[in-house]
Amino acid sequence: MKREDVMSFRQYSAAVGVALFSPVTRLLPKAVLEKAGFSGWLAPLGALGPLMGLVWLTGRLLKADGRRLGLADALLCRLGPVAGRAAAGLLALWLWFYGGVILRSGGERILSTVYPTSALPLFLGGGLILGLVFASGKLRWAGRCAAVTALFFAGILAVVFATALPALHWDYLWPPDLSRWPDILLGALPVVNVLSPWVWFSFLRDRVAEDEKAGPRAIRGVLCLVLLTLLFLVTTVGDLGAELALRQQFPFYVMIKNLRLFNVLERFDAVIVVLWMMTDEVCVGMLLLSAGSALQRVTGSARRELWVLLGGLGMLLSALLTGGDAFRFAWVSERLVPAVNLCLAFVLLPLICLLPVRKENLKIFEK
Amino acid sequence: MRGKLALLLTAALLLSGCGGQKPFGNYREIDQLVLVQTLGVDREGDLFTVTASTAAEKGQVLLKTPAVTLSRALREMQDYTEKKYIFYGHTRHLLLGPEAARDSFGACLEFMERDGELRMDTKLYVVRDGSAEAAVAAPGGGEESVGDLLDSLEKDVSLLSESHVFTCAETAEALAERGSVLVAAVRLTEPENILSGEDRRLLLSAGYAVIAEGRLAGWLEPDLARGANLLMGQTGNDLIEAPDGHGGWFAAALTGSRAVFLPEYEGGELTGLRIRLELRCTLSELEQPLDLREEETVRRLEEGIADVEAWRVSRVLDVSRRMGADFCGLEKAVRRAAPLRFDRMQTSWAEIFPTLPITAEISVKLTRTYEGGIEPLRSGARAAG
Repeated sequence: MKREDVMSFRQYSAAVGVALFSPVTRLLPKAVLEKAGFSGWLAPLGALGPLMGLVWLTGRLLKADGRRLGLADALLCRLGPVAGRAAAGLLALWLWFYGGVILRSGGERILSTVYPTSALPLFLGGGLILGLVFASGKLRWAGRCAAVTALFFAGILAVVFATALPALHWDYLWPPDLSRWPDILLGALPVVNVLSPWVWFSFLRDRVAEDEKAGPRAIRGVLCLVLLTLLFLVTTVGDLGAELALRQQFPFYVMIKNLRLFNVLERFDAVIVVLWMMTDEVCVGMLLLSAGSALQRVTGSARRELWVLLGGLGMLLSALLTGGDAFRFAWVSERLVPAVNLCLAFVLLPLICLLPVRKENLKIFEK
Repeated sequence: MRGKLALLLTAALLLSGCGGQKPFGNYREIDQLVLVQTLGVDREGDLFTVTASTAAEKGQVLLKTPAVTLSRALREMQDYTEKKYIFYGHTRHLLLGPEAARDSFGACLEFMERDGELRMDTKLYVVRDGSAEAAVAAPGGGEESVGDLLDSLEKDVSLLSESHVFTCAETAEALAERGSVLVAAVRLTEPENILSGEDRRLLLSAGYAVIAEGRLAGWLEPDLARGANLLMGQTGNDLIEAPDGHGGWFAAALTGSRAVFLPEYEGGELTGLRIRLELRCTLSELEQPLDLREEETVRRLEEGIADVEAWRVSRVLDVSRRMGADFCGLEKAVRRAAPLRFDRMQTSWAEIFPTLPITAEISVKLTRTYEGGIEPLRSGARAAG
């Protein structure tokens, strides 16, 4: 491994954190409110357990013989060269499809909220170019991009939360109906769904510089994401109310239309919607890198760039051909993709984790 | 690296809409925009008539269009301005005429939800005895716009607690939650009370419009609106006048209130509801001097306030049950008090509500007065001093 083709753990965490906010506005708070009603804002707390479990599971899965592996290598050394390659290849194809859905939902979102008379391919193309720029070249470049984007994005979130919190209707949120705790726990499922796709970025885990504090930092990262998701739900439900939020296509953007900064600035929703696209680009870029890394390992190819470019083409096709109109696409992006992601992360990976690491498979790395 | 950065910046600028009119379609410079502040919607037969008040340097400019749909009406208004685009994104007030509120309340609210430019925090009003068009035109040729009048009215209703101005979002949420809702009502009034000789007409608060099952179902007069505000926790700074128990009158300002809902269950069914209203007031006027250090005196004043508020609350509850419209949100409050017991009931709230025995217990705490003395001024006290 060349020294340059590595990103630091901090950069990796920044990329993961920003990328995970891409599906947040697509799925939340609607998916939570459908299950848990107005007390659904508590659901992120219920998601803590499964997410921490996933951190532990991937930590176990990605370690063999005292070495830190990428997800592709972990699959190879547990499933063997044939089944491992097949599994990694299929997962990479899934990531291409998933990346296409992320691109398309970003485009649909911006069409619905800011540019209703514009054309979808424009945003698909623009988003893909940004994703490809992010994913091309050394990982250090992607890491730096992600770190800068994370700072920028943190600023946006700070402005949104700081302006939204003082204007909330606390009676929409408090007191929560704890008698519906089974529903609240069920509402944690969409939150887990939104925050768990980071496991797919584990294909890059062997390209992340070793960090002694990686474990505690990962736990802190999960806590931070859960807290931000909680704030996201509190501000949206507290501003609109559960029933109204449930009826909206993108309740978060309806909420930010109402924001005012010190009564001197209003209607900055379009800026936030457009800047929110950064999360899509980082997510697409990270998926391109992850899938590229997996396919590079599967085929033994020396150049990741080729797979990144092919991945871009795959994502574009997936974005253009999936679902048809926005109504049908909503079923794919809000039902199908989350269900498959959840099954893969919480059924397939634990099953693979149960398999022992075979010594002979570890020799693959020496080749 | 530089190439990548250039590509990144170009794509980011393009995606943010900095590419001009095309290909984004709705990019416009700010000096090309005409900002609408207030929209009035009337309904006659199958047609909506939309009146828009736009901000201008000297007074307001009014535009009016009839159309089958609200979208069409707003779109057709674009014809009325040359080289400018009418922008509805800063609309702050929406006035519905009585017919529009009666026949198309749900449709108007749905339009506000779905439209990309309009905001859900737009303040909502229903015009009583008149049309939204006349209300929007109320300022006449003066320098004020109807938006200014409504801003001022919003502050006034809070001061008098005659109603409360809710936003479209609050109204839509309440309507979805409980099926009925109160919307601030305004009335167009001739300026007989203005002594300065202005020729404009005024918009005054007219209590609440009651919306039930998605349409205008009736009105709450300002006095009853005060009772509804107590139940909904929207008390403002209401002023209560009552007999002082010594043959005179006094006035007290409401400084805070709390409603506690105590449902009573028997055999798993809701058999009654006690509402405990705790009010805090400040004495603001006494017709005759009273010694406020005497507990009995203060108790009588507190009882006077409680009697007034009890009458208002019981009347509102009567109206609400008679209409079968839980516009004060009692169901939510009752459910929150004991969610499990409420959910286990065999009978629905809609069935129980019209005949449910409801009692309101009002406790008042007169906490202080303003500059006036606590003891009455005794004759000769000044001379002795």
